[in-house]
Amino acid sequence: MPDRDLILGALGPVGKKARMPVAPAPLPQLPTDALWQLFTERIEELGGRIGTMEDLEIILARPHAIDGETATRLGRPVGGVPIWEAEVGVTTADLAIAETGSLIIATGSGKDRLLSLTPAIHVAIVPKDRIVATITEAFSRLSDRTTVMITGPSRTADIEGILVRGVHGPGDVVVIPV
Amino acid sequence: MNRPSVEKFARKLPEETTNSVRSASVAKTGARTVALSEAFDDLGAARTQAAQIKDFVLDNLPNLLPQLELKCSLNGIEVHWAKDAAAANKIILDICKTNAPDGGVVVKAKSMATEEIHLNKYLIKAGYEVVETDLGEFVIQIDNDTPSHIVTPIIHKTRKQVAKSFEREGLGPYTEVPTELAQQARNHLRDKFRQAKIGISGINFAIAESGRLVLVENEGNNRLCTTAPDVHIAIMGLEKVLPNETDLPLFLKLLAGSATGQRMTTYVHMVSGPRRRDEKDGPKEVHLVILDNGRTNILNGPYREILRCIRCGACLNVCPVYRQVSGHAYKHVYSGPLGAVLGPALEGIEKLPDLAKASTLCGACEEVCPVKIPIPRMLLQLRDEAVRKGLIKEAIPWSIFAMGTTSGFRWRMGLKLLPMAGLARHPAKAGWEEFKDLPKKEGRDFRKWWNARS
Repeated sequence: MPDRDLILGALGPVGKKARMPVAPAPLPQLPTDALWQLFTERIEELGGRIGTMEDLEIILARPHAIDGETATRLGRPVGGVPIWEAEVGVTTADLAIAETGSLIIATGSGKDRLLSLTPAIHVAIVPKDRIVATITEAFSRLSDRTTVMITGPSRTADIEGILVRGVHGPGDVVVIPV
Repeated sequence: MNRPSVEKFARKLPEETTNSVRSASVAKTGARTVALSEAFDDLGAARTQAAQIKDFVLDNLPNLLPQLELKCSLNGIEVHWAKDAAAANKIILDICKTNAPDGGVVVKAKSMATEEIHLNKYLIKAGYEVVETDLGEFVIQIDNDTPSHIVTPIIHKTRKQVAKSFEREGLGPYTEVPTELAQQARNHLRDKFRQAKIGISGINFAIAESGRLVLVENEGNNRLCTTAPDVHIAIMGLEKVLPNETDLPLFLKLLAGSATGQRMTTYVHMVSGPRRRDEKDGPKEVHLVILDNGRTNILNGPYREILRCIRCGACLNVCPVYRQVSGHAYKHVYSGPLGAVLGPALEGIEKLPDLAKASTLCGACEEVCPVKIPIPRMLLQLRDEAVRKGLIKEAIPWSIFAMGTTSGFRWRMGLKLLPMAGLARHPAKAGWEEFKDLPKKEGRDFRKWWNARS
């Protein structure tokens, strides 16, 4: 008998436990400025930072790669150096989440997943109106494509519980609201 | 059972190891408390809700697993079923052979399921260079060691030990600075990510309604393993399915807070299948292996609720026994209170009969569990089962003690006779008095006072 049938057969009958519906938490109605203020506090706690377009100019002096959508938004040429060689990866985030300082980035047409991962610095451009208060709110409007939620710089505490930033992913995350 | 008992193992443990394990687990328990109390207005209610959702899942696996299979295949994820470790290993090797017939590098993200089926050994034997990429697991691999914690695998090692291992492997100049050690690992592993044709990971949650695999991590190696190579193979215990995407925020917050005291884990990767035609990178194939390996047995037995576990490790960190003995004492890939139940439940109590004794039954594990698993009750039940099956013997002094205390007559006789025979030492006193003095008896005899009272 195939393993599938063996396993499904061994599960036994469906049980009777009902599940409580997850009550949608009342969404806090905060003005955009307050959400960005909270987001800023959260991402700075994590060792990330909020940047400006002037900061971006300085950062882009280093070898960098930009995806199509972001290049268009910034009025810059697409591309740059190959992603694995880039010290800076510039992307646009779909959403920012205030309560955790998180970014939501879905894959999409002409987008590279590695752009927010292999460079030492990840710059995320976020249009100011793309901020929500909670993860719950953000997850109610996820894309059906592969999506990543990024909360601060890459980190580990594997060695003696000491926090190290920038292990395999970017150690520096710069969020630029535009 | 050629391995030492938990107690004997702990006595031989170097002080350095005990200290590492204790200080790290105490710190993580503290961080957990802070993070979760900030994340939830009512933590108790959140844990109850998570437990209920998990119970619903266990009751509805006959519907949820086929639903997951269907939705995954619609997303282009190929689903495989494995009744045991051997079947899972073979499925994974076959995928490797199809896509990399000449061997080569296989990069691995941290996964307890792959530890459980001993996948690395199997693939290495078949000629693949299997590389662990999580920093802790990488150290474990170069040291030919095994993880001593399900979340922080090198909790038992000091930075000096890691520094020596890195120097021995030629990863860079000797350094004891964690940041520099992490940098050396990053540099070394970059090439491996670029060479690998195959990446293997576990999963944290699989969503039945959307066929999406959810992977949670802090370093970025998991995303690399599941993004850079052409083929991504994910393996999951069959209990890891969740019904809806709306369940995720609750579980992600509980997991991040319980495991590492974070508000949110750095990367939550939600995989909806292989790269689509218009996307520029990502794997061309995604496979999901659904593993039983003893889980359906557990489902229909007295330890069913252990399958609620989301592998956060909070019960290890808080356990007074784990803190003292470290993970290797448990003789199983799953350690701590969770492992003391899951180990025997998966492998049969005959193989690990003494693990249930590695507990003080203080109840701390149940108190911190994000899905409220009644671990102390299960440990008692395992002890009972082990004694009934004759696998562990009740110590003779305790059985005499039990005989004496269950009859008033025998107890009174004992109290009179034992001092005369010079046997007044309580069986538990011997071990106790190595470290502490019992207070001297003062005052009158209680029974005499009680009888004289009226």
